[in-house]
Amino acid sequence: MPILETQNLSYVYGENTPFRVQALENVNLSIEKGELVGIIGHTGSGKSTLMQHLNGLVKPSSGKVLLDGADIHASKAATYAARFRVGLCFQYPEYQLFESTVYRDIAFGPRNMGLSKEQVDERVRRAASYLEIRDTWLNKSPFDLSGGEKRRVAIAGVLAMEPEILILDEPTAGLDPRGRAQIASLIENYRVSTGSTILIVSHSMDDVAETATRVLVMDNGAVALSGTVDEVFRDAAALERHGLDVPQITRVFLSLRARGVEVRTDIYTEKQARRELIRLFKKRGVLQ
Amino acid sequence: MQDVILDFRDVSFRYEADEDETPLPLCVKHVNLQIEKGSFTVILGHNGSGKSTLAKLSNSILVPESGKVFVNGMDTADEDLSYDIRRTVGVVFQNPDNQIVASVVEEDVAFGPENLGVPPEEIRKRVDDALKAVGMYEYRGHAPHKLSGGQKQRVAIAGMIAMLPECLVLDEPTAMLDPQGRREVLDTIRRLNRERGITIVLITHFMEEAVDADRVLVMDDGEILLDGTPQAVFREAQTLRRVGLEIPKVAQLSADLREYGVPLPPDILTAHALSDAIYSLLGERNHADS
Repeated sequence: MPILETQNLSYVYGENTPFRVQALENVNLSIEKGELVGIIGHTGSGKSTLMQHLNGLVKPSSGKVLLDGADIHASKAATYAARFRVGLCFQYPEYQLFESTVYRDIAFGPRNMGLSKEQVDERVRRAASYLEIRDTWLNKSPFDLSGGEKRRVAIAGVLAMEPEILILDEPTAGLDPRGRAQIASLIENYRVSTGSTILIVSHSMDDVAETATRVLVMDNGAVALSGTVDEVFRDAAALERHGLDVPQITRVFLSLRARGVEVRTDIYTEKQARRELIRLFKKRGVLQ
Repeated sequence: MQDVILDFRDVSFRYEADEDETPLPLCVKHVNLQIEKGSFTVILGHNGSGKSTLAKLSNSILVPESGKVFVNGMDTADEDLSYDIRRTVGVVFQNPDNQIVASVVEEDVAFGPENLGVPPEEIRKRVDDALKAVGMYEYRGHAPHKLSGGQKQRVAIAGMIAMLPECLVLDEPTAMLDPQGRREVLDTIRRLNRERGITIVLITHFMEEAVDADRVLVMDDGEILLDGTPQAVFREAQTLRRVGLEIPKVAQLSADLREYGVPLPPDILTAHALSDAIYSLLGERNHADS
């Protein structure tokens, strides 16, 4: 059974007003335990609204969200439980840091879960270690850290609640290349060592290309494309139609194909590109 | 020095520490930099490299601890000149939501010229012209908070254009935007440079945004580490990686292929250029065969 599922999920903003917007329309998804799913789509495609439904923050206009097969809006208790089982980390989460020390900020979530002091301490340290937050930072003010460091503290605050499903909205936005790579690898390590299910919401294809086991493309409030990274990225024309960028590497091959050169076009990483071009050059006698 | 608009001479700066704390280290260290009128310069650097501070030093939002910054020969440390300096150099920041002050697009764009004391009829003209320049004229009556990120950022740029600056310094203007918003903003910036001769200094994390600049600077630890054409800078792959940056993926691919023995020309930075080069290699081969 999938750990998380939506059935005909629809949501309308401003029903019965002139500003009515259908933000989600009949979304059906099914996420298995341990997956890392990339949800990509341009601004306004409905991806953030979808994510806010998955832990009961927003109630669907129609349709259901199921956690382990049970409707999260079946009862107040079920909705409350969903908040802890599904952890949401919003865009620019460092803007939500507020405590006097890094330790207290990470501890805020688990403390509200009614855990003992020892349990809270254990969780804070575990979450900190997943995000490579040094012990020496724990007593510092979060506001004395750099942007990338703050981001890691904010994510640790969500991890400390030990959600079974972690949803991150644009976790690498605004970071420099090194910061982006670091966050991506910390998240992947966390998934591998805990077996957690992770959803990454992003408008950057590059963010999900390396690690996602599956990709969903949202457009117009619906799931427009879904499949493995290979399956989704293969169709560059479809991606452009849905307002997404085709990786620069892929563009090289699309352009060659358009000029009549026999090359594959399902190429989006440097490694694939090198292999394909070397094959081509050998075949055409440019290389021995 | 007629054609230099921004002139940094041995500029150092540090932020003030809280009382009774040890002073913070310098975050801009002895920078010498001249930006030519009408040029398009990109500044790259990781978070904390000092590039945003450089932006704020360029129009007297901050003044140097030591050294001088001149804007068209005007010293930014001279408070009497700050009006003229800010009219000459406009700075656009990362988050459009922090830069929009009015509840109607055209009023927001009018805010700058109003404060400069421009007469009303002239303001009308400038606002219309600025909104057209960024492709947002048809949205002049809209509420800014209902616009997309890319649209808001273009409104923020229009607000600067309406003050008729000679130079725009943009501090990661696309960091919060999706691919489409990013393209809109970049196209706008390039057009302002090309068609109106506005000097552009673009600060960014995205290496791809640097490939067609006139000049690329790389900052690290408050200093200018590399300075040259995009081709020259992106040849320094190792140095860039050491300071937390990378080279555009297409450039990396081209360099790898050359190393493998493929006779590609050096310094390929864009998908278009690589496709051209491969096509012509294959073409030569066809001729040789026949």
